[in-house]
Amino acid sequence: MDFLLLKFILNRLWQAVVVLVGVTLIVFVMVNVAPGDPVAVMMEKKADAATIERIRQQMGLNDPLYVQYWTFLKNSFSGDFGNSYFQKLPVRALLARGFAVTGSIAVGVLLFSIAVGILMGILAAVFRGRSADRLIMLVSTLGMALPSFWLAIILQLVFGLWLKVLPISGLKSFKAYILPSVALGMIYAASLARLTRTNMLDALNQDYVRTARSKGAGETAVVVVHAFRNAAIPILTYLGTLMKSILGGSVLVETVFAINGLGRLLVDGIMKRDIPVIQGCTIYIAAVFVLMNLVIDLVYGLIDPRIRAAKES
Amino acid sequence: MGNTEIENAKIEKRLPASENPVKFTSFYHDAVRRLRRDKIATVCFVFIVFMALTALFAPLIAPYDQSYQDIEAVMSRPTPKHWLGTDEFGRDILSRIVYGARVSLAVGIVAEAIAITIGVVLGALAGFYGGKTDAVISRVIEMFAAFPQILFAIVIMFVFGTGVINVFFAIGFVGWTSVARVIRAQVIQLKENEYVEAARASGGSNLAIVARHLIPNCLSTIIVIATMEIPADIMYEASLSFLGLGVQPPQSSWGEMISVARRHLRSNPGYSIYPGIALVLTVLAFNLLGDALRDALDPKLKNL
Amino acid sequence: MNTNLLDVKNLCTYFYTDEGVVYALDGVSFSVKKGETLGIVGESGSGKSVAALSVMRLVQTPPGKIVSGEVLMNGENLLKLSGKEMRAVRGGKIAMIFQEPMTALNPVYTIGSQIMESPRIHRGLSRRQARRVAIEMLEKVGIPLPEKRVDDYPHQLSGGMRQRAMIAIALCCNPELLICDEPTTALDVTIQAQILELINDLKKEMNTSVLMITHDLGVVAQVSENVLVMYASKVMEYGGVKEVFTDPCHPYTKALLESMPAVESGRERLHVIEGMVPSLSNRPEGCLFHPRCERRMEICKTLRPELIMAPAGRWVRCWLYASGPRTLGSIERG
Repeated sequence: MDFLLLKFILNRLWQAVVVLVGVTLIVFVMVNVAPGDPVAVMMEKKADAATIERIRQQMGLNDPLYVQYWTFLKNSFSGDFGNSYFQKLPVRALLARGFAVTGSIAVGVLLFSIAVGILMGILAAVFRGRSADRLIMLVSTLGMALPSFWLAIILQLVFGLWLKVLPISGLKSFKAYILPSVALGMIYAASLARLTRTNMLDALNQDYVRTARSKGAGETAVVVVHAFRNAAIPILTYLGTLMKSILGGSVLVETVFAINGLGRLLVDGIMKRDIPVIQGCTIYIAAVFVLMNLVIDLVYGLIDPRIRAAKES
Repeated sequence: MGNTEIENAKIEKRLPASENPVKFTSFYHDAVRRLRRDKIATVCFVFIVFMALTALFAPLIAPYDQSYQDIEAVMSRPTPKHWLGTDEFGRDILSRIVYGARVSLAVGIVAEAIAITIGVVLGALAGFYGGKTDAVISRVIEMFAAFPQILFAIVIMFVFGTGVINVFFAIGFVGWTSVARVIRAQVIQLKENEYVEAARASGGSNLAIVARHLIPNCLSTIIVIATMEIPADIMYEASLSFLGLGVQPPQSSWGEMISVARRHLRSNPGYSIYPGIALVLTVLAFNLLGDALRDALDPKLKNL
Repeated sequence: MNTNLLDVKNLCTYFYTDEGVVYALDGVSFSVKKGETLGIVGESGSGKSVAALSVMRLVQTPPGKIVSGEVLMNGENLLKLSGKEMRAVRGGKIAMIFQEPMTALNPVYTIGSQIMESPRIHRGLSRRQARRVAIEMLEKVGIPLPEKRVDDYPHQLSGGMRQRAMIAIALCCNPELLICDEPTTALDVTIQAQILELINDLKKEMNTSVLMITHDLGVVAQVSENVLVMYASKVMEYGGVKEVFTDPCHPYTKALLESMPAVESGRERLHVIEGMVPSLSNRPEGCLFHPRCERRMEICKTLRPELIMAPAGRWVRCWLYASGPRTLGSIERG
């Protein structure tokens, strides 16, 4: 059994590597298709043609494309994306700094959306058809239509400018995390609430829930232990997509709340055509997502014995 | 009723494999009847039609042109002259919201059409041929899906440059993977059906089978996905424009308006609020209509 | 004086749906003595499963509701208990086995942990003690290698083994009453016999009373002392198994018995009861069975018969045995 599990893990790892190579290829192609000479951008129009040509030679930009890609691929896998044209720092350092910031926001968003979304979803399922259910569904339907950047501005307006209870920019205190987490987390909390409700309703209608009741289990145990554990399986798969969306959506709240995270790094890089930064950010974020999915796949197998069996065989 | 049956018979006669289970008329009549009974769906549909007309006839509806500057009323609060006030150049906010509807709806339709075209073709190929084709396409889907949608759109905008047309393509390229996944799964299921066997037996080429049997059978799924993805596309456009990477001024877009308005939050909060409300209502209407369509046409997509 | 373990009196359970009120159980009474097995038979839709769920108070509310009646267990009315008190009864004094062992077992927990739940709730056992109980129970229900199987998940067991595990779950707290809702319907014929035998053996060993709910008259004949024949939410006939099966009073019981394939009887064709079970939200007037009854009389179409003691010494709901209107029937039959 352990051998099969190992085989399953190795197989998933191999798939992940293939996808990551593809990701570097996509990024490489896009950057090469983009108009403008990177060296000219880098020199900020201060250099003459001869100098530009010399630097091109140095950077290997005159090599055939496949050689360039090979170098790029090797560097990407070792985490070396070169230096930023403008900040004169290794992209790796910028990424590390940005990721620490974005990661902390992502944790806030994830905590908010999971706590609120799953709790609301469970409540709605338990009180299905009653007013609590209807209210939760109404709010979540609305929540799914709220663009995070606009909600962020409204929250700034209400809690920052009118009520003056929460900071409207930066991440200096714990309180500063509240608005970005809610602004970006609202849409995910809403969709998690709906997803949880659907799956909980399904689980609560299963025979095994009746069996649990027939054993004399309390209502909390029935809902949490018996129904939710089953409903959690599809929710868990959704968390991978959720993390990806949070990493992406972070750029919007980072912009509104003036936070220098990964998203801002990428957008600034794009505005300035700072190619190493663009490459670094995109590959880094995609890699995080691919690895996260890998982890979720493995955890998935641990939670659901049937999946484990299916994958082992 | 009698009419529909005759029509059904006609359709079935036209198709070489008479086992084709798509009963176009009765199936869609049924769905439409169910939808009309759904009050929320009806309201949303009416709202969307209203928005579409607004977008189409924006020059007739908007009180002012989107770039007309009323120099005497810069950053004014709502007045009888400017119902929702004016912006930093004295442009009428209501008029700019009306014109902004054009961009939002156009992006919703065009970008989704691009996404569906790519997604249906690749998804159908993967599902129909299976084996190596499927493996390759599936990996490609995974690669593209590895980027957060909004960041991918940002990078594409970097490659192509800003502007409405490029927004269409950026968002279209971002959205195709989810379409491809669903269509692939459905084609795999459909091709096992007897009528595909029958079509093959009567000498239909692969292309004919895919085009005449499989894709028409995926039609309701495609409609549902489109309605459900359009609001996401509208949100992506607003987000791109908000970041300054999408629609460029003086052309107005809700996202772009919110982005500028943000700087005047203290002096004119309404400027930020109104375009957002237009955006929320539009997205809400599409979301609710999408839910209703899914329930009416394709309930098994519930977990999408 | 009262030796009955369970006395169900005039139990009514209705479901309030959009299409109207469904009378799933309408004035049903029966009793089960200590160590006795009562079989409840009927076609699907007769209300027999609702009877089981009502005794356990597991009818889903809404839409279902136990409207009136009493469920007396050792003289105590279960319908009057608080939620907490009732939970102590469920799995403790009364346990239940369901029809489909695959769906009735939670797929994400091991067999062992699902058996351990009851003893931990009702007997306050520690995890370790409960695990020992689980292994003992698995051995008792005839699952080989119980120390290993205890850590298996439901999908790793065969259908018969799953039902055995289900029985282990039900019996691990020594319940006084075991309710079996179609326990063998989902199983192969050979496995069916084994499971019934197991239930019978354990019942004797543990001196448990059993409420056996089934559509299969063969099952009832094999395990029960008394039988309750239900039709469209009401009791039609109620008495000792031997008497009812050898000399059925009610035309419905008769029809049911005739529709059963019997190897030794040598009948060539099975009898089929014409018509369908009436919808429980729109029941016919008069006797509920009259539209399908071969011995229908005028009165059956208008007046609903009461459950009366027939001369044969058992309860029957049929005008044929009522003294007054009986003459009416005799006239009609000429």
